[in-house]
Amino acid sequence: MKELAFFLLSGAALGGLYGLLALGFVVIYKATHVLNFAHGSFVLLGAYVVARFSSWSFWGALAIGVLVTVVLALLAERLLIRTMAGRAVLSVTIMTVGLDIVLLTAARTEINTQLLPTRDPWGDKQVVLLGLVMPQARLVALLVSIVVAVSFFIWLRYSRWGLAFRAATEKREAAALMGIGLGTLSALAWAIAGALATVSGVLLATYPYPGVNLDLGTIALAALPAAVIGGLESAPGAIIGGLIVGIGQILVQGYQEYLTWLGAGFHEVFTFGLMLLVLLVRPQGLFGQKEIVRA
Amino acid sequence: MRPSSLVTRAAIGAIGAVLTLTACGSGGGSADAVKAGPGVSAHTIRIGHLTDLSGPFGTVGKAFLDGAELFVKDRNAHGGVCGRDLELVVEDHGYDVQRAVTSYRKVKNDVIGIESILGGGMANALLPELTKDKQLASPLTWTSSLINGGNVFLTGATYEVQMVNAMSWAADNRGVQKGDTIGFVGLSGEVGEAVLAGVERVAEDRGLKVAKAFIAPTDTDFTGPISTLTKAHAKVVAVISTPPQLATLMSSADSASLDALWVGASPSIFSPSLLDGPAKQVLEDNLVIGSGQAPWAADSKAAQKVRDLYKKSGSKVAPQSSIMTGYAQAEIFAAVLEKACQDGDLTREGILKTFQSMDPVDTGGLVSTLDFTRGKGKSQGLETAILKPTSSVDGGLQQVQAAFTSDEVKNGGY
Amino acid sequence: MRDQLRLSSSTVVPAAVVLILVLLPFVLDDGWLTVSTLALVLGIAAIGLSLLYSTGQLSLGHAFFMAIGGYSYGFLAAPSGEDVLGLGLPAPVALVIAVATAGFCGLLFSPIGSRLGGLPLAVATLGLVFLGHHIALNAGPVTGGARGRLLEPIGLGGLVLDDSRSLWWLVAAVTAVVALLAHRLMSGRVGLSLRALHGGELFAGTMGIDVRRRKAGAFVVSSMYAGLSGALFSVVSGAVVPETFDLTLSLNILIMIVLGGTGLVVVGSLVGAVLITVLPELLREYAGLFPFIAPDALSEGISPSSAAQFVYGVAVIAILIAEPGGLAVLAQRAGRSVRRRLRGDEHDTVVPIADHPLERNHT
Repeated sequence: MKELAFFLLSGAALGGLYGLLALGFVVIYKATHVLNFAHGSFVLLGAYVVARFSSWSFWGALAIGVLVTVVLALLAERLLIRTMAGRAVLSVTIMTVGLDIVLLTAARTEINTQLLPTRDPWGDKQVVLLGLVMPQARLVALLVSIVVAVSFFIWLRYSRWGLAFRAATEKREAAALMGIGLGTLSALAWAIAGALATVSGVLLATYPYPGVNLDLGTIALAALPAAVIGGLESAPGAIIGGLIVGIGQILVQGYQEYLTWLGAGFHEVFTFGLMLLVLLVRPQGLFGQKEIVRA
Repeated sequence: MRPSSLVTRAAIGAIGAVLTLTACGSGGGSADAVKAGPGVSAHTIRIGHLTDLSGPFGTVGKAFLDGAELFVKDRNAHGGVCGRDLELVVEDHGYDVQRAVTSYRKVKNDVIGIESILGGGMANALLPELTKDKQLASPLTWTSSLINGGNVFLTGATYEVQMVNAMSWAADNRGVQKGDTIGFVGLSGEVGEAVLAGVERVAEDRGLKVAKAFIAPTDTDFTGPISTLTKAHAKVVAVISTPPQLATLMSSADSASLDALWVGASPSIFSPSLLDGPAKQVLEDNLVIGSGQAPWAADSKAAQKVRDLYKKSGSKVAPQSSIMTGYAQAEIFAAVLEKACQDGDLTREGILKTFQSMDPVDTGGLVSTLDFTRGKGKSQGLETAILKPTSSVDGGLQQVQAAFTSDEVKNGGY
Repeated sequence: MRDQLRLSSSTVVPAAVVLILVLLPFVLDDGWLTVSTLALVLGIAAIGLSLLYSTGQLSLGHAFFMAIGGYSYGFLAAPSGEDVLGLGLPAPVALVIAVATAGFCGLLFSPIGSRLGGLPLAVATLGLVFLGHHIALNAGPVTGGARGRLLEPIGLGGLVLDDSRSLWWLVAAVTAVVALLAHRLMSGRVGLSLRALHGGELFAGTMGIDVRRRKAGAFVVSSMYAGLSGALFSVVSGAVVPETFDLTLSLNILIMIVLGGTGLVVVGSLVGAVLITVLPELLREYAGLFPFIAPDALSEGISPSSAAQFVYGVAVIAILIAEPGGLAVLAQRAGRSVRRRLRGDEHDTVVPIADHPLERNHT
């Protein structure tokens, strides 16, 4: 019983991380219907910048990291995405694949086998929650994702920009009528995603993980099923999808001795299998809205 | 020291040098009399080196290559092989099977053998073709399925043998009793399976239970596996993972107060930069690595020679045991070629014939002694050394137990 | 005069292509021939993906169907071995069944394709690649597990094809056949209905076109192409290992069709395939000409493979921004302007080819 509780708590923490990563995908998809395959390299880049400057000051480094990824995201949006305005979203999505390749190749040349600790204030401290011992950093990750998710939700609901953001999904013309250009919306989405990327990256690299290294660039893709399960256009869906995936993964990995008939390492495929299942039953995701096809 | 023995020694040395020069003189008589295959000209011997320099294993690929190049340069400065200069023909396949196949086909008619192949999948895919083409080949992955008894050598014991040796040592070290549990945490795949086989063998011999958990390359959280190990009170845990995962595993184990000795299956799971991070203490205290390859800081003449050559070359590759291994691999390959030369036949068939009946090769401890005559599927090395992470040395690893062969391996039919 | 020219261009080009295909082995050495053979093998997969893409479905799981084809062929054609099962069927039979198996898997998956929009489908198919990898590692008796399977050289009617030349001719012949098939498909009734999808799926539906069946059919056909490609890949490499069919392969094929041009299904795919396969090899051969590329492992600078990766990424971005029709369209435009200049004809109007069903802003 205690073991199950521990799995659930750990799974929730991991799920929170997945949720943040998934949110990065959802924000851009919601505003532009583009899937940004370069998100993973932004995560890596942001975390790398923070780790580089962290010996000076962690919070200062975090600010710099966020600034760098936001600027990079805005540049990408303005130079690449904007020039493809009016083009099919599939083409733009494929373009982000190209962008991801470019960024990851550059990262590989720069980072190589380096492993940079993030020097965050939570370090390797443990915390006791309901009789369960957990790394403080993981708990922080969970709290941060909840806070970010709630803030985002409130922003979407009650602020003018948030309203326009939501409108962009349903009626693009209406958003324009509100005086907010679609281009600005797109830029805003990319900027938010950029900021999320750095935060996610730093949290991923905290204890017990040893630090920022090249592997971080490909971990973001593991959060894509979470985004799809929650519904690609739903911010709360991203977080909940993340939690489902995180908890599910920990449970499957934890009880794998009872699941050997599924093959070794099943927990990795599990998330994608779950995603396919959800898509079969409810293609728009758990919290997504059914798309109305217009001729 | 008696002056007369000095003189005698000098005389013997001089005579020996003269004999060597005539036997394999540069461009001289008997060198031309050697039968030559593709890649062997009057002045050079070309050997292939298929590796990953730009993909996921690019860094370690560069280290292996660096070692090989250090050996080749030094050997050529001292007469080369069979009076000819060795030349490495390097191909970068970026850890892509398709490119590996293409690279091999590109160079196969240009070289007399393939001195190094990085990548298990690549080696598996190329093995039939290498055998058909009668190429002597040395893959840098230690799985027994590659040992076909004809044209392949591995630079050390197979993973299974390594683990039996290492786990055996660890079990003794930790006073593991009958009925206790040992653990396994590893990436699924050929290597993981081989490591697990070694663990299960030790368990069977000693009446122990095994708690096992497989992990995936993208895993960052190991709550499940750690819980499995803690529940079972595993005293010794075998591990094969990526370096960041290793640190995560051991840190998580520390959080869960799991008191176990972790046994790494190969130096590849370790990276010196891990000792700069939060896991430093836990790694130094609780990890050992079973290795058939010498660490960078090894205390042997051969290792010192490599370090000197490395310093002189001004190489930018970070010091690590892979450089030692790369050096040793090239050295062994050259030894086979040299013997084939002495047998008068540097064709592919001739080299294989020499190889299959050669005496065990000794690299002065860089890799364990290898015996190529043991036959198909039989590990060519049976020794393992135990290394421990230490931040105070270059390369981060230090030997704490000299190479040995456990009783389980001796009696195990390996 | 014009008619005569037009007639000759439609016979000269195919004749030239056939000539090149037949004579290439005598011009290239073993290594380059293998590169070219693999380019064609991947080109077959690319044609399949392009066919699928033209119906508005994007699949990132192409590597999965290639794996089905490759492993099926391995199981069917190779005899039973130490720890693997095999049926030891004659090669052509094994090939056909392998392709059919891949098509069948495509059929199983096609309902998902119909229900999901472009991008969610892409993510769903992503999962297939990981699923395939997992199955490959765990279905030991069929797939050989982590070690993979070895294949005997392919034998056709008494002849054993185990050298680069005969493999090239085999692959070239198969590619020519399936390329022509695809061309027929696109220019026949199917192609017409696909172009009708142009006006929107709803519109096409009102025209009496069964959108769902078309899309499912495209999925099946594209999976069969992928399966054929996978099987041929195994034949050419002589082995099938799990490392081959990964996400990178799916992405590479996607990049092939994008760079080559998605508007021209056959030509674009083949152009893209040749480019993506040949480029890194070229960069490596002539690395010395570029100062920033390291000629060998240990010098300063980036390795040729990294440089090639960089170039792809940039090329994908550039082509998508500048000329969505891809290189094939660029070449076509160049060819047309050259011809126009030769003829001195001022009255030709350039018909935009990039009139692709997907090149519209879907909300």
